[in-house]
Amino acid sequence: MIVNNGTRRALTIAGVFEGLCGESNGTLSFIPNQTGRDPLAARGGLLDGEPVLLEVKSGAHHPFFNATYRSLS
Amino acid sequence: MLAHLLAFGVFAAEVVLPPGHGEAIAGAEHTTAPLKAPGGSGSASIPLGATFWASPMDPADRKPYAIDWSKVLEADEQVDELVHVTMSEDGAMVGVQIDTSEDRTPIIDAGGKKVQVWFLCLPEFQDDPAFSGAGVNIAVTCQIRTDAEPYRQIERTSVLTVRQQ
Repeated sequence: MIVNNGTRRALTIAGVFEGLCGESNGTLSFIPNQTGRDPLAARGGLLDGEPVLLEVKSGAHHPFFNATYRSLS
Repeated sequence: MLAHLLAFGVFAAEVVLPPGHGEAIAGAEHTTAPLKAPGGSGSASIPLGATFWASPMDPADRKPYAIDWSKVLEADEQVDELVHVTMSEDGAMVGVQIDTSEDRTPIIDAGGKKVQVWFLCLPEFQDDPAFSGAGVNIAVTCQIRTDAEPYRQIERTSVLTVRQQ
């Protein structure tokens, strides 16, 4: 039996979020803590300091935004 | 503080545990029953047809929650193996975890129709503003194999509401 509790990683999205996000099965979760940009308009960021392309989606009934990512390095 | 938690493996992504069996003690209000043919509406991290536990969890609670597979299983079929239990990225974000401490690891109920999981919210997250008001919905995915020949493998997502009460 595998129990997977996900993990937390450092995420920076300019104007949207800076801090530790949640990750499980390759999807990121964050609650925006900056107000400079629309989170859904974000296309890239830094994950553990490495540049990534992001595809951000919003959850309909809760404060989380979720993103899949692809490494650019 | 977070660096210490990471160093001590509190956020270790994955642990492999021996299969557990026992008596599920979660009450009806802490039991959800996945459907054979799920419908309804979903969102980015909560898939179509996910079922909710009726009773929300306070971040400071430590209580068992059950998944009753009766509607998914045939009458003479039982849960034979709990393959994995996976916390969503949203749960990881706000410190909600599947409890793997002694006596609280996920188990298959002796009756073979239920799986029981304990949840906890890490103490340093319990005052997170996300838990105020309506709180947050946290998806948890569980995959089982049955004792049918050949076995059937079934995965469903259940949703735990965590809010201050």
